[in-house]
Amino acid sequence: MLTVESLAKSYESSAGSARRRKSADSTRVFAVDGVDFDVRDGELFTLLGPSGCGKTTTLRSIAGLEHPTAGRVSLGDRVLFDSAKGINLRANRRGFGMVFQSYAIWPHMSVFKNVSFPLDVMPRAKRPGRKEIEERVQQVLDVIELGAYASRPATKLSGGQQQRLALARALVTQPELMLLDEPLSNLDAKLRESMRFELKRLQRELNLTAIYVTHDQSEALVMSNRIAVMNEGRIEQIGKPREIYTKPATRFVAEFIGTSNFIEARVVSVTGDEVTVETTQGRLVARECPRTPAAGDSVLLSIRPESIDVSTTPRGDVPNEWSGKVRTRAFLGDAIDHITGVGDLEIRSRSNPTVSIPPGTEVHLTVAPEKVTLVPVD
Amino acid sequence: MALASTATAPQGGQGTPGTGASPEPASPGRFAGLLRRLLSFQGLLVGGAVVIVGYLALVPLGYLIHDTFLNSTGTGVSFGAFSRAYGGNSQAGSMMLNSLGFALGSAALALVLGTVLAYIQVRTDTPFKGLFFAASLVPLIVPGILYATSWIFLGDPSSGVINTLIFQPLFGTAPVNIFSVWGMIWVQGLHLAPVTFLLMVAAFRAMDPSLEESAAMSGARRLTVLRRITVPLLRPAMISASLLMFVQSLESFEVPGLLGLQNGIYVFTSRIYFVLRAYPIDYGAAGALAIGLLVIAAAGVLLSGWLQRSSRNFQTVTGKAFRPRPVDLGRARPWVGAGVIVYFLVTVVLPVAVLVYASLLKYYAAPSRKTLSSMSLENYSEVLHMPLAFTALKNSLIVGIGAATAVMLLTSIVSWVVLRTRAPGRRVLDLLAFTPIVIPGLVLGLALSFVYLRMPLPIYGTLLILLVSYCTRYLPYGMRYSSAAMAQMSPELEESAAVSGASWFQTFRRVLLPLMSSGILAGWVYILVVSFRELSSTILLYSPGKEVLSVLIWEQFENGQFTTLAALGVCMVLILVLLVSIAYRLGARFGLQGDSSN
Amino acid sequence: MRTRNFTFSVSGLLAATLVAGCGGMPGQAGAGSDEVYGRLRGLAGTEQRAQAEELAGKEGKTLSLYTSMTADIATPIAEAFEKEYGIRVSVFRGNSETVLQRTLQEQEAGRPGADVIETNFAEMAILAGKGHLADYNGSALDKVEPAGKFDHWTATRFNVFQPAWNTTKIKPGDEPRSWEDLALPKYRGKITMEISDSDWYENVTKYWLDHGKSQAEVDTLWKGIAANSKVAKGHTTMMQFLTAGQTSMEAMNYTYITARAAKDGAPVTHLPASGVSTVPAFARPNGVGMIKGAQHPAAAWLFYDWLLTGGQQTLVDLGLTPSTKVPGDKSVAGLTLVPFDVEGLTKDDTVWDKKYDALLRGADTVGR
Repeated sequence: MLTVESLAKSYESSAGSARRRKSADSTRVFAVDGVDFDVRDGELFTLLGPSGCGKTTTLRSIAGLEHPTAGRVSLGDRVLFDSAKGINLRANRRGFGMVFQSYAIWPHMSVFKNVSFPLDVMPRAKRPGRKEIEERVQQVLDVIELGAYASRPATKLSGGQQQRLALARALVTQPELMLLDEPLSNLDAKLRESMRFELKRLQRELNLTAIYVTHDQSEALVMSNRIAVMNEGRIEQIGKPREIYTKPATRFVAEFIGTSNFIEARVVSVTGDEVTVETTQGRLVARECPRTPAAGDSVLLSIRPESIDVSTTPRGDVPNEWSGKVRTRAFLGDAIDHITGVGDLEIRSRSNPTVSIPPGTEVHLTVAPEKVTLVPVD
Repeated sequence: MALASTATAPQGGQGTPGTGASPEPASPGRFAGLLRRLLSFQGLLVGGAVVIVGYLALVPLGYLIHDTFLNSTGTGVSFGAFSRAYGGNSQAGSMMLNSLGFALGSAALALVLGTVLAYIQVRTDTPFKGLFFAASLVPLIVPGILYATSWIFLGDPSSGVINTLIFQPLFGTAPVNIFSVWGMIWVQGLHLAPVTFLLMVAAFRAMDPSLEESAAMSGARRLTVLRRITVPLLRPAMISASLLMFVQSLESFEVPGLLGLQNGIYVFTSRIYFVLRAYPIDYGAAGALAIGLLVIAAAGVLLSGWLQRSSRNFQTVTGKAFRPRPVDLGRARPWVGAGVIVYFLVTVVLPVAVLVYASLLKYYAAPSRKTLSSMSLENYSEVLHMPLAFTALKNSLIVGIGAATAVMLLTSIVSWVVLRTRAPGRRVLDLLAFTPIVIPGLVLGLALSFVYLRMPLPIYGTLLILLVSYCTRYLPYGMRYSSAAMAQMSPELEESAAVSGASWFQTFRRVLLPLMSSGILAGWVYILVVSFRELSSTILLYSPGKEVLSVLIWEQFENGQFTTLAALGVCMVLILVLLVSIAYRLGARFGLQGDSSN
Repeated sequence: MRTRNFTFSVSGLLAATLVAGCGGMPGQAGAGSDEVYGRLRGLAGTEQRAQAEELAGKEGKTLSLYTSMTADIATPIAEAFEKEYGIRVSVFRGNSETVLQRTLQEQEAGRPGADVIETNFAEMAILAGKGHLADYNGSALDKVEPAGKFDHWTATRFNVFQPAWNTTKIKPGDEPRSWEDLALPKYRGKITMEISDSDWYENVTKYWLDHGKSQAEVDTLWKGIAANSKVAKGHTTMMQFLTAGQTSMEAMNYTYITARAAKDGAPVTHLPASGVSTVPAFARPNGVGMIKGAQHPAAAWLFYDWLLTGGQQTLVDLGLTPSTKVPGDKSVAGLTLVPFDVEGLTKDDTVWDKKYDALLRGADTVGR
């Protein structure tokens, strides 16, 4: 539905020296450096990455708030931006809904006026009648449970209510695409939790297509149909949340998403989908691998803590088993983490809180081959 | 002019200047697109505003520069004017020191007073909030000539009422001397404090108190919060205000003329006055002095720009709504209340009382049994019977309201260009809009009559030329008010409107203007009020039958009828207070959270 | 001024094209006024007034007067003229500098706004020197004293220079008896000087030099006066402070300003208790002139004529000093009139301005 092709946005490097215009390209800094992706109908597509990775610039470029340096953005067969053809549709002609990080609620308008604004400013030919506007606004306000507050000044709402108001404003025109720029980051933890599901429910029920920008990986994993992980202006990996989590394509993705044990290794042999690797603490068998490696390659193993089984008794009959001594344990409420020293390695494992092993105890760690992910080392 | 293409996307974002609208390798389609945008409504509006502002500022500036740098034969560039203005026995050094000291002192006093008052008014539960309204306007309304004269009657070292009635009986000394640099700073600072007050009230209203509250929650004491949070957050507005105060003090002549000359305290403007009243007028020397002012003012603008370079971090109007909650003064409340009363007494009651007292006499004399018994309302009946009083009032209203409205509309568009786009030359535009502040009124008058006498439009000899003149003179003030209001606003508020489908004009009209309304209204009131007393260019440009109130005031002054003048001044204060109250009532209906207390 | 059009276009001003394109738009009545003035000049003295009245009727019975008379004088003058001839007068009032600047601007642009000018000596002399005034040769000139006749313009009244003081502050016997007295130590801190009175400064200096003083003596006297004095701006402003007792004495004010304040009951005067002042009184002429290219030349001629005849009585009624002998004129009673130095001031005005300015600032006059 929405296609983004080799989108790039660059700035001149030193701030404040706009007048000293350098001709050399070397002084340019790329905030977005050749991004490609497409968003499918009805999906919630997330741009995930640390701050400064270019995700917001990408979103703003799609919205039409930023003028990209190069690339192409199209919605179906409608071209929104094309640097080659000199097309740049204005933000107000793109017909998207957007929720800003700060909500950008207009403090001088009532709740109702804030929501009706996108309808009020439609071209006369398309604008619905006064009555219809009222109905549609009320309907949207009801959906997000602000129906009772319509006549209040927007400034009298609480943080969570303002967030929902911003959402209502973006929804009221039933846009083809919703753009959400870290909409939950200003809420407290509990509200954020409940709003996640609320948003997801709305998106599913209204069959919305949305691009969602966040730096919170758990938020991304819970809500997204697909995730694009961005770093330094480029996309590192695009995939379903499970893929991103279980099969990180790069070390950056693996590090950024969740916690993981990283172990350096060398490929010994490859048989079918089974790869045997040599680590400093013996051999392991892995089964998940984005690229087929060859014997002798240096690789990085990524093993999620919850994939590691910790036990005081040896199993013996499984391929990947280490023994070591528990160094510390940490109680997390719904889980417990043990950090075990295995030779020169420190392995973090996560298990059911009923399993609690005091530090100093001799333990055996096992992990299934399909839970060992090989991350290519570039 | 690549404004139109940047204008599509207010690229507030990261604050790193980028290519913005700089044309990419031009393909025909792109060029056509650019042209189309230039001719769009927005392009015309923005372009029009920029052209008008540039035109208004360039006319007098061109005139001034022409006369300053042209040599006597009229064929080449010369710097002789500067040696005539600053060289010889002109005592340029002490004049500059006097000017700077006076301007800095007045600006500092006005800034401190105005900011403290604005804080107390907007943020605290102080008693007597209603008094602020009067305290913020009356000194502004009273013509400078009258205000300074009142203070002479109050603060003369030998016969001033303050010395004779307060200090002499109580302490046996007469320490107050209004004819000193400190006296000048005092009068000018009090006269200017309302301008700061108006600017700062707008800024405080727009600021989220939770920013302060969060500091208080992290354990900071109230003073620490003020020092570390409030003041830094308001930096853009404070810088704007001090710049304005500083340059206005540099440029004003009433106070240095009435108070400074007595003891030989000369400033830039008294030199300019001297040069301009001789014939043949040495335009070159006057221009050289004005350019000296301009250089100082430009340095001020650049400095303020530099200080505001990180102002994006100080956007206090964000899309997150807030509830203005007044600070509980607690035990300090009665003291603050008393302070408010004292301030009100000093800035409003005393000078106005002198005016009212004078307006009841036949000629001014210090209060005595004889003068008190001879009081009458004769002066007021004389004012009412002045044949021109009503014409002048009507014309003043037309020109004042017209200029205030035009300037605020123009400057809100232009400050948008300056702050929100990356259009090339926007800083020049900002600077240009500031230059009229240093153009001496007479030079402005001469430049305008020169241009419009040669234009086949019906402008010279009509009220329009006064309108043009006032728009030019008050452009810098409008610009400060608008850009202070604009700088405080988060660009996301505009962006969200654009994404909602609003065109640039809809965004401007329905989001930007209302959100800036508090600042715009303050600027509007300021211009309206000061345009009532503008004389230096008016006196050259008005036409018989098209008199304005300031001409009438000048006439009374020239006639030597100070007491009639005082009566006229009292009437003017009443009319403007009424007018401004109406403006605030109306403004509160459209504006950001109108303050219920006034 | 000639080259301004050029600069404007250089500065890339939008208006440049407009200004240059439409520059020098001619006044509509330019040629007509010369003809009217010429025709009136050509008539016998007895016929001029009737002819002018007739022509003024055709012009629409209006007159535009630019003057530096204060409103309380200009208004009654205009009313009296209107009553006499039924010609409506619209009055532009400004400082003499403003009147001059405005007139020059309009003349140079070829769009005269004034028909007749009434202002101070120096400004009239400049306008005459620049050839903007048309000649009047009517019978009214016969009554004017020779000192009041100038090329292209004629004096209508005199501003008389005298010290002024507050009678509660300066007791009888303490009054100055000569300009020299102002330098006496007893007046230390009591005198106010006006910032623009360079014409007075010039006249007194000339007078002293002509009456046997050396340049060094004159300089010492001025230094003494300046040391006694504070500086103020505006004669009427000064008078306010004098009447209020804020100041004690003014080195110089125009006698009519002092007399008018005294009439209101203020304790000020320019005459000692004896009623006779020995301070040499310089009378500076203020005059009237008709503008070349005026829209209403005949009305201008009538006003010029009237101000030197019937109008003189009105001036006397207002307490001014007329330029002709008018019965009942007491404005110069008790004064010792001496000639006003016309020549010195016409020649090098700015030199005196600069010297006076330097004196007030206490600066050395090396710059000259």
